[in-house]
Amino acid sequence: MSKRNRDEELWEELLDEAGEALIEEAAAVSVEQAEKELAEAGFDVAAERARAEAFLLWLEGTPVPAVPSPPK
Amino acid sequence: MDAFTSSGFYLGTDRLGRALTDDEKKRLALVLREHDFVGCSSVALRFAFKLTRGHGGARDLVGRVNLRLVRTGWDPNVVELRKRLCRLVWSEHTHQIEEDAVTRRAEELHIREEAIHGYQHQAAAARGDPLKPHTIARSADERGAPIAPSYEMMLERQDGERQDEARAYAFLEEQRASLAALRAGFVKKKDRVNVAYLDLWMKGVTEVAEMVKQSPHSAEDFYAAQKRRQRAVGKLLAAKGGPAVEGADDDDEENV
Repeated sequence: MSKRNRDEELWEELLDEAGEALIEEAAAVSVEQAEKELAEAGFDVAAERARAEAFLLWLEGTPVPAVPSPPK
Repeated sequence: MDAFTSSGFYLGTDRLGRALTDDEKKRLALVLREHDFVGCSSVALRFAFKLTRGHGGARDLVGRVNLRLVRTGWDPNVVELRKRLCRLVWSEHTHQIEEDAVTRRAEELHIREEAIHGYQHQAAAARGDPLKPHTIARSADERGAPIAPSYEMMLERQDGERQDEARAYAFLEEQRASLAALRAGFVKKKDRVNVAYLDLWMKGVTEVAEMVKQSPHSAEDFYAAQKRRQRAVGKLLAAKGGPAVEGADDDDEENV
């Protein structure tokens, strides 16, 4: 293996390691808490839910209603 | 190969090597609904927002995560959907960047090739004789359609390839600089275990058991060093505008 690949592999390993705690913490948050925080951060939660729903509709082959564009 | 195993493991299109059929898409949607995909997306969006610190960036990240989910699959028997989405958010945001860069390079190359060849085919077809692409164009529209890749197109392609190489090189340099900064930080803090960990890793020793044999440190030392390493990497990421990692600012002198 070249040194170049070793650098890349080690950095990825370190990022994996560093992210583990963050992923655990993020996934432990309830939907209600996440949406409360999103609303506090200025997200339109209903629109965000519609965006997620649109992905499912796309999978289902159902016409996807327009999701309002977020304000710039 | 079926998109779903008998236990309900969705394999993903990367593993399948093909796109999903309409029925498979519907089944995937059904499974995602059963696991409250919409609610889990809010959890993933919150995480993406923490990482990107921007509304648009977070939405874009979650959008890419949804596609990654379709591509890479998910086993509901092994991991909860919200955790799977959060892992993909992290992966998209950080350590899979290199893989994505490679994929993007390949996709961009493909798109450029398509732009050149697709354009060529369209131009020929517009003339009504795709087998004679060198027929002289007559109309104004046809005059605008190249018969073969022009020098400009070829130069543009070469330029794009050089940009790809430059980006890949820059990315690698960034990684090396990060590793150097990390090691320098450990040296400064006299964290010999983590210095040994990095040096042994670079020599190809990646298992702690083997590290113990090749260093004066115990397995416990190496496991204890992991937390310090996580904090140090988190601190580096935060300095680059990445996610703030709890405890990353701890300036503890830890010498083992």
